[in-house]
Amino acid sequence: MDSKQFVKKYTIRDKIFELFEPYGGRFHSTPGSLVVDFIIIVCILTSCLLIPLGYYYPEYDAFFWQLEIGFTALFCVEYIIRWIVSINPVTYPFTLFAIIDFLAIMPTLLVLHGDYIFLPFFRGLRLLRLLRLLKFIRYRIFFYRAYIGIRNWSSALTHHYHLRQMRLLFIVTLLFWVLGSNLLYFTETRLVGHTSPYANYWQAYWHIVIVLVSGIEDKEPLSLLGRIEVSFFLLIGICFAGLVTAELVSILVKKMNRSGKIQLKAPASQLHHHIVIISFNSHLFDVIKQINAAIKGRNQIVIVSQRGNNIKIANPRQYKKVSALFGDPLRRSILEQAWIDKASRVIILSSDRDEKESALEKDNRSLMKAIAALSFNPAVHMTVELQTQDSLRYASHLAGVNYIEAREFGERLIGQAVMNPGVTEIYTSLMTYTDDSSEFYLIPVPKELVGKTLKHAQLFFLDLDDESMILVGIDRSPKPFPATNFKLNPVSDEDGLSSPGVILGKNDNLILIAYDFPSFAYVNQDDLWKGRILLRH
Amino acid sequence: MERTHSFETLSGHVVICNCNEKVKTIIEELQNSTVQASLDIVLIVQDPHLWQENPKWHPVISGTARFLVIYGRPTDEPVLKKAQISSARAAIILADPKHGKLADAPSSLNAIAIERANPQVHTVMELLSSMNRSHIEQSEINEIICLGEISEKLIASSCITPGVTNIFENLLTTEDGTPQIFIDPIPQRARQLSFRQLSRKFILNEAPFLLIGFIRNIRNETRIVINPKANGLINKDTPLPGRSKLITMGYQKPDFLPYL
Repeated sequence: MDSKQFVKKYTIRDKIFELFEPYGGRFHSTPGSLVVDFIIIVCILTSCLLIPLGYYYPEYDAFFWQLEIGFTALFCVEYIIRWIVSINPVTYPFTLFAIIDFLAIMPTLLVLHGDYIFLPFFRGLRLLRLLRLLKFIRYRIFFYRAYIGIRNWSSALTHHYHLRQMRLLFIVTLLFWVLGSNLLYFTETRLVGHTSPYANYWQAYWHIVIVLVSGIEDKEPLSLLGRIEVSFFLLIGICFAGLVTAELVSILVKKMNRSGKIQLKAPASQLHHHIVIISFNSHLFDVIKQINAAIKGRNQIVIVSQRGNNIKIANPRQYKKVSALFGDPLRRSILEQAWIDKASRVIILSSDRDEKESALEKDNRSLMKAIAALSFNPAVHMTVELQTQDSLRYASHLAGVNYIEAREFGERLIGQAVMNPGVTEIYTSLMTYTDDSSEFYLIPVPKELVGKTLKHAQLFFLDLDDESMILVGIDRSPKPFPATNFKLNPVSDEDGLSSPGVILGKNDNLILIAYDFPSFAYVNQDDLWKGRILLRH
Repeated sequence: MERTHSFETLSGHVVICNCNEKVKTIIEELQNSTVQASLDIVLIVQDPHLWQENPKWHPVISGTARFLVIYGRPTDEPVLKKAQISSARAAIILADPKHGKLADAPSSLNAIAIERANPQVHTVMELLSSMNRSHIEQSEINEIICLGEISEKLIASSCITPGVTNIFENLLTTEDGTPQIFIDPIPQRARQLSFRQLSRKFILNEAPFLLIGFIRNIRNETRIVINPKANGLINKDTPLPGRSKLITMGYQKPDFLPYL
């Protein structure tokens, strides 16, 4: 098969499909599809608004009806396009959302040709098109992210600005204000009469608020009991003024103390799909920099360390979505606070806290942290930094955990640098996430390539000009353990993975060198939803 | 352990300065490479006690290649002369454990001394602190490898794409049956062909290697392009001039001609 035909076929069909069905198995959405969705939402809401407007303004009924016909025509065109570009045009009309789409246009079509007696009923049925809004459930991940973001932002605000304490102070002050004003009003009117400055009900509120807020008596009550009561509220006012000042000073001092340090995680903030980095060493900042470059700061990062309250940073802007949790990562309560059971990824760095500790002891500590994290979240993708190769031998029993033993890579890289001068820069480039460098990505075989040979697939990617990528291998690993059974540049007939004539199966993964996660890659929505895949989009 | 051989006949060998826990694997990797002929190695050791007290660091020599040890300072001209640096292919400067975390300074001086003795030698230096990279890059040292940086990049890569470390491990291993990355000059017949044209030829002719990029000079500046884009100043359709190099992934050093 000619690879150019391949590309052309993909371009025409899938681009229209993408426009009308973004996220239909892919994570990618074009700005065009967003515009289409926005126009459809506006049309649905406006057309539904026409129904009550028709009842309230019957004189404009003819105009509203013309608009309704226009909207229905638009929805009909949209329905036909969706049908044409659907994956299976035979079954499309029987899918749930196609039925909903049909129900949205059907009432108007019936009214156009129907009996006048049923007109009000059919017109009312037009409200069914509100069901079409259910389609936009595909944006749920963005709504969910926004919800989590707002919730965490508000809990951070509450924690850092002592809003809970301030709220309590405000409520108590309000209570004392109402209580004091009423008490003084009744005391003074009963004992003194209308000559008292507290005889006017609303005036009493004014005097008491001055007493409570400033701690200074505004107007003197004339009765002894009134004076005793005001004295009590004066004391309360002094206490409140002191407490508010103390809280404000405490906020300012805390802010000054924490300037230049990573913000602390608010105890009430609930994290989902975040990245947990356990322990602290000099690699931490560059690891965060790399991750942020790769996912554009989309996911929250939480650092769990016994030095969590004192991690100094040079540029706080780069750490907006990074927070620290102070405590021993081996304590279950600390891991619970880090919401490790909801984390997408866990990284365990080799702690350099105790310099006297041997490399093996550091590794054992790291492995214990890994076991602790896995006890909360056995399915999480975990990366553990180790210091010695000896530890790797027994660490490999923890399935699904990626171990990084830099010395091993370094030794090999030094060897390769001698044999192939200049090769380190290529490896460095492949390991670095920037907009202008390529990295390795694993993606499921696109449906267009299932059943094709590896050679066809390589030519397909070579001619794909919208996104540059090179197919370098096949991965046939079990899903929870990616890249454990793969072959780079398969050339010889072995393992069933090799030879350019190998046929790509639907369960295979392709290993690509690309600038970004390929936009056409079919992504399991569940994986995306649960944060198993980290993307920069 | 080292064997007794004369230094005079050495040529195209590798000189390793300083010894630490990495020396054993590096020597074994260089001498047991399945991709190319084994290399003779000269190890310059500053502290004989350190070397003798750590038998774990001593490589197991199995092939025909020579392994020689010289005791002395790698910055001293007579020591470098004895190691036949003038005819060496490459020099590896490892961090001296005696200097602890401050080993980058003596390592840089060693590398500069070697570059002065033989500017043609390919120097590879082990860097301990990534902070020092930008200073050392100003010197003539060809390749600087910082374990800390590798660790950081691999941790981040593994976090984003689980399993990717296995791919790097596979690429970096020199064992039989594992691919490696090679950089080779573009053959004369392939000159003025673009990346796309060359790739297509290699794929259609079922070459046992994959073209993944190229290196070319623009206005006296060397540009490494991996996975060229379809647009831009240097793209996948830009003809590759004579001085370009091809970056390939394969099991053996590539022979381009049969597949052009």
